[in-house]
Amino acid sequence: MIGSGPKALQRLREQFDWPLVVGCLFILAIGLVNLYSATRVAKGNLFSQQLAFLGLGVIAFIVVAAVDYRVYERLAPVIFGACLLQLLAVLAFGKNVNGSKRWLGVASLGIQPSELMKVGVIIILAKLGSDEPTELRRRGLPLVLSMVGLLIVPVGLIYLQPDLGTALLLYVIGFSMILLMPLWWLHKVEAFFIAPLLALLRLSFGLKAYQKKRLMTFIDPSSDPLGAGFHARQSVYAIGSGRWTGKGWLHGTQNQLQFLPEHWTDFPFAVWAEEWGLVGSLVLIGAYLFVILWALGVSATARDRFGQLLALGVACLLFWHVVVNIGMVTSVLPVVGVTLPLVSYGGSSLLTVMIALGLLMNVSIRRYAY
Amino acid sequence: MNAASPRRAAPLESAGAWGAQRRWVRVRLIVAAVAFAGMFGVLGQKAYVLQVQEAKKLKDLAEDQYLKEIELPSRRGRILDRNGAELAASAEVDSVYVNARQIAALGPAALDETARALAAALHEDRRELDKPLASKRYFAWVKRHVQPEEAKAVRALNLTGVYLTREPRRYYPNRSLGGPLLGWAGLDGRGLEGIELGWDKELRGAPAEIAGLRDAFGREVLPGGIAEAPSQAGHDLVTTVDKFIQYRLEKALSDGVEKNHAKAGVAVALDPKSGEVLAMASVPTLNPNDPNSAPKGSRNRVVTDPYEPGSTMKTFSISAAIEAGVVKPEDKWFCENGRYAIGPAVIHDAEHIGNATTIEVLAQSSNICAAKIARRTGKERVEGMLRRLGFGAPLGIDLPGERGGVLRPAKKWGEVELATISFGQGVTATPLQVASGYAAIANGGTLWKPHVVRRVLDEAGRTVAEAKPEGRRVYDDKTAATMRMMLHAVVDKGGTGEKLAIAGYPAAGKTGTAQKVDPLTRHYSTDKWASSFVGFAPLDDPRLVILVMVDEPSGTHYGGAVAGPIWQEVMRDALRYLGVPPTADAVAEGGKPAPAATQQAAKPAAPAAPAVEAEAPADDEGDAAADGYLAASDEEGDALEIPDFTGLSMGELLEAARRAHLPVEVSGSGRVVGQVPPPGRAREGARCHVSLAPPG
Repeated sequence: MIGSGPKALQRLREQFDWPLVVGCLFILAIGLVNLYSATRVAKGNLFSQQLAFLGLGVIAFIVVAAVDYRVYERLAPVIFGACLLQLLAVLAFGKNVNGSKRWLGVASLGIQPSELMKVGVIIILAKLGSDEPTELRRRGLPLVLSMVGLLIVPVGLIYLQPDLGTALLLYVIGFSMILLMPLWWLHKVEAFFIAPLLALLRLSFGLKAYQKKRLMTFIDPSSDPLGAGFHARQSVYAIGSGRWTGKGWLHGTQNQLQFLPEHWTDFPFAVWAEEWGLVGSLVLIGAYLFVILWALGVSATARDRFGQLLALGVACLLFWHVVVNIGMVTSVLPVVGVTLPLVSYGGSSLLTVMIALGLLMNVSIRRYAY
Repeated sequence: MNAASPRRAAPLESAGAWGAQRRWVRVRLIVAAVAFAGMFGVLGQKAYVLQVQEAKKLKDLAEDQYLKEIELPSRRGRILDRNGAELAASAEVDSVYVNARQIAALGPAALDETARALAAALHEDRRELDKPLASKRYFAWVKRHVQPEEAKAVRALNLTGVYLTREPRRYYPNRSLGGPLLGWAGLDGRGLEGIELGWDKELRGAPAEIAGLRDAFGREVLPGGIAEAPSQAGHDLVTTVDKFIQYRLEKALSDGVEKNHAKAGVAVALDPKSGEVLAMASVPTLNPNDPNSAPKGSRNRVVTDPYEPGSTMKTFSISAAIEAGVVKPEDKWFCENGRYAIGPAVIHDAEHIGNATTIEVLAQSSNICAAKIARRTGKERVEGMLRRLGFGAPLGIDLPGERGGVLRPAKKWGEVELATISFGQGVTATPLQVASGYAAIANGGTLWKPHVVRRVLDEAGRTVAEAKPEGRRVYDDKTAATMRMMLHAVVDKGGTGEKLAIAGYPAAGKTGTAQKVDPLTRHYSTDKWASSFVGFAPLDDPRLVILVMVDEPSGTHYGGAVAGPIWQEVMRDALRYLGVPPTADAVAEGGKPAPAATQQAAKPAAPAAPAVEAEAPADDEGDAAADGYLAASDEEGDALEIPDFTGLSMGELLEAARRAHLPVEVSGSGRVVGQVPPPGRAREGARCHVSLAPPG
């Protein structure tokens, strides 16, 4: 049953999930077109770097998709543990960039373990939730609590880096997975109460100054126009000035004149919306929705519970990334450093999303296998 | 969302409990899908709100921060002489500016390094650069209009935050030639003086304002490039100035000023037939390429500085009599042998003239008879003529800063004032006014409004505007002809300007040697003179009117001796340059073919000078009578030396009088403004009446 070697590749070819791949390629193409425009003025070399990351990502996608996901099910604790070790390593030896340790690097090559951790969390939660429903129910509240506990550990480690955005994102990805598992609702409600309590405790122990600032500027973006609120404001200006059809590729003034901060990592949607207008915005949002709904479809038709939860986790990952990033860019949510999958510049982010999509593909091509 | 597949049923249904749970799970997934789609709907709705509903407002806000009206300095029009030679032109040169914020962001070390490198490249003091670099502004000039090699050096440095831009720069190819007349334009291309100021609107044109972009660092970005902006070059001016005549006049004037160790000098050459200014010179002059180093007092004095014209004014007062028909040129006058009392004042002529015709009165410059003629004419007629000639009000030349001089209304004139005004004291006029009056005589009686701009041309060379000579009749043809004849007598045998005749070009003119009023004491000074000569040639068809006035010459101060040779030299050269044919008899007589003659400027002037000096005292003394009009007639023997008390305070006066053993009668307070008798020898036992007035 477990595919390996040429056989797995053959399955990959035969059962190839074309709609998923076309959807992802479409978003990737938008991402590259947009990145070219975003980095043309200031950072020309980022585009070619991103192409290299993409090559790496495609290899990762194929490898992850080729190996039967039941291997991952067995190795789940190992994968999760490895990711945790990386997080610990980052706290110990990480590169300090702008006041936080997020990078684990060799020479100029670096990786953000917090990104890979998302895959680790999806796998371990899928593993814990893939028992027989009767068994799950028997284990009840302790199981839910252990899941929340397993989630809280990496979230806490990421928070310590400190990287509030990624920590919160990991938390909501994990929590939405737990929420959608066939567990007794009361246990989840109980867990729901515990988690916000923990979150409150964290808040009361104090956020970093810049984190508070970000929260404040979310509440009132005009309070600090040249500080943190500047980002949100410039981003909204960019989107707004795109209007119906946009200013045209390479003609976004907010983008080209560099009013948009970090527009290749955190704000590519603003670049896109400015240059392609509402039409472009809706096309991109629609493409994401298609891929996410397709992932839910894969989950619904998966061969087993682990595959189902794996696909669900990937759907949650994509969903929260897109919602939080676009929400931040459109000033619905505070500015937290969350990337737009397949569109943002960044090796770790792209690699993580490609691995996640590889898992999704993996489940997809093995839905009807026996 | 379910992928329909015929292959899925059998294996899934066989999965037992998992299969039973499946529907339950699917319900959750549908709920999740709906929730996810709902959230995406919210995002799409937000995008709609931002990009459609609030788009206008957000777009405006965005544009506010990056759209910027960039004023592209238009190329300033050229100033050309009447033959098209460039007197002022514009060229694009580099200017250096910095984005101080950008440099500051690099840290103090980079800032220091930038300052050091820039200082070396621009040959500037480092401290000069600290101001723009420390300004914390996105844009600060470091040095404008740099030399090409400096621009090259800065470009080679390739420093972050240091930029070069092209700016039009004004330059004056002939350096100081016509400097005070041309004026200059500032760094931002606005005319500040002279023609540059007076015709600024035409020269500047419409500055092109284009919408530019400013990036987040405040740098200007022109998405379409400069080429997109409509070029709105200013208009060219074709002036009436003739570069050659301007050069000759300026050269001769500055040489003359230097030779006479004078304070200043003015000269103007007019075309009597149109009022066109062919040349206009003032010394000290200035180089408009470097207006900051202009010497003090360099200004276009021809229009800005009224002076007391002295004897050159007699022409106009006598012309009033001729025009009115109350005096004929041949009328006989008794010139009182040099002393003449009018009421409380005594008028002097230097030369003790007895009987003279009106012609001789003018030719020998008798103050006494000029006063007598004026009295016969009547003060209303004299005033009327002077006002018609444009005295007392600006003529309206197309240059900034023109003044009109002072001519008090006749009803306020006393007997003495009528007399002094008749010979040019107690009235002020600009050199331009005097020259214009002579031009009216020269051209047969029309007073043209003088002007320096002939035509305004657009970029393609098409005429946009043209000056139309404006004139009014001030003389009857006959009067003008009579006056020309009389003025010719001045430069003929026996006249005060007899040595100023020009071979081949019968001329006409008048000398003037006016005492100047000391601005401190408001009293006529004994050593400050305005020596002038104004005249035109050729006599039967005058082509040029030239006035030369040398201000405060040292040593010789007679108008005929100081200003005359300058006038003579320029007039002769200019007439030859203009191709005016000399009279046949003069060619035969003088033996020198005038037009072909090598232009030796100083040579003919030099021998003329002593001769002029010989006749000059008449003129000099006549003008010196200005003092006389303040003096009551109180003549006795001459045994006592009376000192000059003018300008002294009360204490100084009493001290001086004590030392001179001279009894004084004092009236008024302040400083001495007049004394009777005047300085010189007086009869033993004379008393001196001294009047004082508060200064200012």
